[in-house]
Amino acid sequence: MEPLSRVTPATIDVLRVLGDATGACWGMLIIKSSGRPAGSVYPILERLESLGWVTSSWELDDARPGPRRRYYELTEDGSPAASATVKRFEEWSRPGARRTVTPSVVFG
Amino acid sequence: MNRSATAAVRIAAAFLPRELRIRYREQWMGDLRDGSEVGISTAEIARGSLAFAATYTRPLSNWSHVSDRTAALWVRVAVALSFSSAIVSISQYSIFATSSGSDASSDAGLVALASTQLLAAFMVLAPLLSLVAVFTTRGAEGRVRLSVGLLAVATVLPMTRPGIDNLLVPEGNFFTSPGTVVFPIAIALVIAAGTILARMYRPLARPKVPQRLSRRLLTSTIAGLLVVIVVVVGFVSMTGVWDARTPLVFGLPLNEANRAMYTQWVQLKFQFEELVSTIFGMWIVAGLAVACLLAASGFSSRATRQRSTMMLGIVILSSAAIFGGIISLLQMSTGSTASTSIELLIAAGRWGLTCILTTAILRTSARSAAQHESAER
Repeated sequence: MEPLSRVTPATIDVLRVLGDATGACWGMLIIKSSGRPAGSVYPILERLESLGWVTSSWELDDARPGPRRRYYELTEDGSPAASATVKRFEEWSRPGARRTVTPSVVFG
Repeated sequence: MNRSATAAVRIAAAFLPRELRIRYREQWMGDLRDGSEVGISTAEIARGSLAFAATYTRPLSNWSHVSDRTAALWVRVAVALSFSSAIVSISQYSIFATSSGSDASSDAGLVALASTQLLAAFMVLAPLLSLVAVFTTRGAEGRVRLSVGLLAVATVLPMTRPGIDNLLVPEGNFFTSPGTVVFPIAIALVIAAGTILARMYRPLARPKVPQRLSRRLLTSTIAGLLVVIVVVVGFVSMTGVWDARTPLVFGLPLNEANRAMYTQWVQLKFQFEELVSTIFGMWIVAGLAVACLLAASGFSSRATRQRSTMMLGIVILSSAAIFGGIISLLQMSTGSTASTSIELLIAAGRWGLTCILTTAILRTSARSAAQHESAER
């Protein structure tokens, strides 16, 4: 698993949704739960997947004909890393915290 | 399922690398079918897929025959060409406004015509070459592709509606004509592309050494005063000239109704020309103020290397904008009556501006993906 080179508030929201989910989560539900636009969530999921934080798979429900849904979940290494990143971000963004650098420097 | 959303998703998938294309096409089609279950519209999914395709960065490692260095060079050339052509296209308003007045039978007219046509060719070829370079170079970042695309549109826009000045019949309003409206749109696109590119190279850590307050205060005050002076002088001169101009169309063999119509048209034309001249005049002084401010405050601190490089880029761009504004004003004030030496000067200025901009952006942009990555961290 590779470290994230860029952490934005949208990345944190996506990590939070994936961390709160029990099992694999449908991409549309991640968009809905994070409250972020699809144009932000799709690239974030692709980046997390390419870095090894997240893994994705097709749905196994044969009852639904046509194109399949894609489900995402945190990997074994990605799960604790996501929790730590969210925690650090929350500490960083707490009112009154000393902020002399951007999130990318803190988490890069 | 919405047909236009389906088409958008298919187009987005077609722009992805082969290994991702099939997967994302099926994923997005599934999302389109079932997205309404969780209250997400098909338009939202279509926008998301297009945004994903436009910003997706193809990994360089998949294309071992293209070296990191070569890819980076092509990207830098594309950014430099597209940015310079867009700035030249906007700042050289006079090309479109006065080129038809050039008389190829005289030496001066020949110089003006050749210079204009060659520059127009550059403004067509440069964005085309840039687009080909960024979209065929593996490893070019999605954000760079998006910026080059925006700059290409910004370059072409002013050329789509030439001849604002050559209307023979009083049709419409100069201020709201498509030929005028395309300029602010093009400027907005350049600003958007510049913001995307600047964010890619932005310095993340602030300089730790505090700057001296007095110096910053002084430069800010001077720059602020300059801007205020520009706005006041521009406004006063514009309104003053509007009142003084009286269209003379009485000599024309027109009936009363047509004469009134032409009088109104000519008056509007003069107002429009004054507005254009004022905007260029304000542009020159505002560019000068920005350049002075950055030169004074940007280089005085122990800033990071990226910061200095970015500052240098902005100073060069501001100076180029000043230069471009002066050339455009010179062309507009001389019109088709300029001497050969003036036309040669304007031609040299235009090409000098183009070369300065291209070279400056080439020199200040990141040299390699590794350098770029270090700027991001």
